[in-house]
Amino acid sequence: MTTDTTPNTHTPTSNPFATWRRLSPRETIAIPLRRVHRLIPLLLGAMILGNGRWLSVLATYAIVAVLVTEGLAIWATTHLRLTPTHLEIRSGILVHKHLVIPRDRIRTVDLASGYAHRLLRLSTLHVGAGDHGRIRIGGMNRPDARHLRNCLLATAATTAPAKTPAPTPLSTLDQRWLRYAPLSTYGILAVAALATFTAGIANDLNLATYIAIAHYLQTWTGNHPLWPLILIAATALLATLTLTIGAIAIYLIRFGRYHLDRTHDDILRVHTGLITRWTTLVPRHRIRGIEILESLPFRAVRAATVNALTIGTAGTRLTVLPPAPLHEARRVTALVMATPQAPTNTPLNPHPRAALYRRITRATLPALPPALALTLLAPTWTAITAWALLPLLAFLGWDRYRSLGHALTEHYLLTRHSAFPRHTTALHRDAIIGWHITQSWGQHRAGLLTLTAMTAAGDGCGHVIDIATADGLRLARAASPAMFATVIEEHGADRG
Amino acid sequence: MDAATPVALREPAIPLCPRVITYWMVPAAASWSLALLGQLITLFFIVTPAQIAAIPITTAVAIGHVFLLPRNMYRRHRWELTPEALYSLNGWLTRHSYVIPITRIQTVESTRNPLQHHLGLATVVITTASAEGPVEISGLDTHDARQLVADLARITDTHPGDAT
Repeated sequence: MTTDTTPNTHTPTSNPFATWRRLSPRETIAIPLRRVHRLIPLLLGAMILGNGRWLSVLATYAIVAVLVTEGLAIWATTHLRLTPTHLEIRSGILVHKHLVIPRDRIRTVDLASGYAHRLLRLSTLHVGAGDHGRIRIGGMNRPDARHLRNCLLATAATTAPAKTPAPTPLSTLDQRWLRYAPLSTYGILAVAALATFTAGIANDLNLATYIAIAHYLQTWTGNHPLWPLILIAATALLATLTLTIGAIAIYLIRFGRYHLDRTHDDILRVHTGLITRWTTLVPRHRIRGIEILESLPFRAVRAATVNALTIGTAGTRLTVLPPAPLHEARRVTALVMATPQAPTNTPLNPHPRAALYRRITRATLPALPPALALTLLAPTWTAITAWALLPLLAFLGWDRYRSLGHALTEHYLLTRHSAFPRHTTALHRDAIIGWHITQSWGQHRAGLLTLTAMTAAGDGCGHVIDIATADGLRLARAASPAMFATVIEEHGADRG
Repeated sequence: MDAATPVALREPAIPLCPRVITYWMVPAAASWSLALLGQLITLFFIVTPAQIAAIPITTAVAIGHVFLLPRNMYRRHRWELTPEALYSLNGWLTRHSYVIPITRIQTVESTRNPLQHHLGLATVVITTASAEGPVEISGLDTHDARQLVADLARITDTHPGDAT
C-alpha cells in the first residue's frame, strides 16, 4: 500500500460530504477485486474438480456473480456524512450499523491505497479515533478523500497537541530473514501444497507418461546401472527447490513489509502482510506476557519467533516477530515488554532427573510395540529402521527434558517447555488468575508434579511441567503468596 | 521460607456429600449391566472358549468399577473455601488441584441433572477469565452448594474489578 503524502495546503471551504453520500461507484469493482485474491484457490478448485466443463464454468460464473453482487450491495448500503461536530458512517447489508465519531476525538487520519484501489484511482481513509481504534473508509476518489482528510485534520489540529509525536519504530523485516522460511512451518505448508498439487497432476497424467519419462531417462543416461538413483536424486532436487520457493513465497505473503512500532500513547502496532495488509493494535496494558518459540530446525540455526500474550483482543496470541535471528527476538522481546533486558533471558532452574526418565520413557515407549511387531512379522530392513528410530526418539526425549525450566523474577513467571516448538514464556505475575496443579500416578511415584498458572492471556501458557513436588509448591507459594498461605504446610504432612 | 524444610500441599478440608457414591455407581452399574447382558446374549449364538472366559473377567471389572471405584474416588475428592481462595481436589489416576483466589472468580452457578436432583446433590461451576475453562465441584449436597454459591457471590461482590 502506498501512503498519500500530498501536503495539507488547501483550506476546506465547501464540504462535499455535508449530506449523506455514497462512496465512489468504482468501489463496486474494487470490492470484488480485493476479494478475488482470497478466492483464487476456490476458483482453481472449481475449475480442476469440475471435470465436466459445464460444471466448472457454472461454478466460476456463480462465484463471479456473488462477488459482483456483494460489491454492489456494500456500495449501495454504505453512506458517509461529515457534520461540523461528527463523522457518521452508515453501513451493513443485513445488520445496519451507524457509527458516529466525534471529530475532536480523531487523532490521526491516513490515506492509503491497496493495489485494487491504486488501479482504479481510489483512496482509503484510515481514521484513528481514540476508543474506536482505527476505522477504515474505503473507496473514495482521490480529491474527495484528500478533502475529507484535510477537514478532519483541521479539527483535530485545534484540539489535539500541535505535534503528535511519531511512533517509535521497533522492528522491520530484514531480507536476510527469508532464509528461515523453508525451516518454519511454512515450509511444511509448502510441502503439503506441493504434495496436493502433484497428486492432482498425477491424477490427470497417465501411468504411460511416467513409463515414457522413465524410459527416456534410461536411454539418455546410456542405460547406466545407477539410473534409478539419478531419477530419485533429480526428483528430490526438484522437490527441495519447490519447497524452498514455496516456503519463501508463503513467508513473504504473510510477513512481507512487516513493521513493528509503538505509538506515543503506548499502543503497540504490528503491520504485516504483502498483499493484504494487517495492522493489529494492542495497548501495552493488555500485553500480559511474551513467549519465544524455537522449533528444532530454528534452534539449529539460532532463529526464533515471538508471540505476545494479550487479553481483550481477538485471539490471545499475537505474533510480533516473524521467524528471525535469536538476537533480534531477544531485542524485540525487551522492547515489547519495555524492560531493559528481555525477561526471557533470565536463567532457568532445571528440573530433576526423574523428569528426564519420564521424558525419555514417554518418547520411546510408544515406539516399542510397532518395533517388536515389525521384528516378528515384517522383513528385516523395516525392523532395523524401527529399532534405529529408538535412539533418535530417546534423544528427542532428552532434548525435551533439557528444555524444561522455570524461574520467578520480581514481575514475571518464567516457564519453558518443549512441545516442538520450544516455548519460553514470561508471564506477568499479576496476570495469574489461579493455579492448577496436576499429578498423575507416574508423577506421584517419581515425586514430580505439573503446575499450570491459569491466566486469561494466551491459553496454554504458564505450564511448569515435571517439577519436583516440593520445588513446585514453593514456586507456587512464592508467585502467589496470598493464595497458598493456608494451603501449603511446612514440615511435610503425611500426604505429598 | 527455608529451602530445606519440606513442604506439602495439604488436602482440602471438606469431603463431598456421601450420596455422591450412589451418584457415581448408578451410571456405571447401568452400562456394565448392558455390557454383560450383551455378552450373555451373544453367548447364545456363538460359543467359544474366549467368550466363556470373557464373562467372569467382565464381571470382575464391573464389580470393581461399580463398587470399589466410587468409594475410592469419594476419598480423593475434596474441597474447601479458605478466606482467600477456593481450593478443590479431584481426579482418580491423575489428581487435579485448583487454587483460585475468590477475587478472580467471574461467575458462579450451580447445576443439577435429574439424577442429582433425586439424590439431593448439585454441581457448582466456577468460571474465571482463564482460557482453561470452568472449574467444577460436583457431588455437593444441595444445601452446601447453595451456601457456597451465596458465599462466593457475596465475596466477589465486595471486590469489584474485571478479574483478569
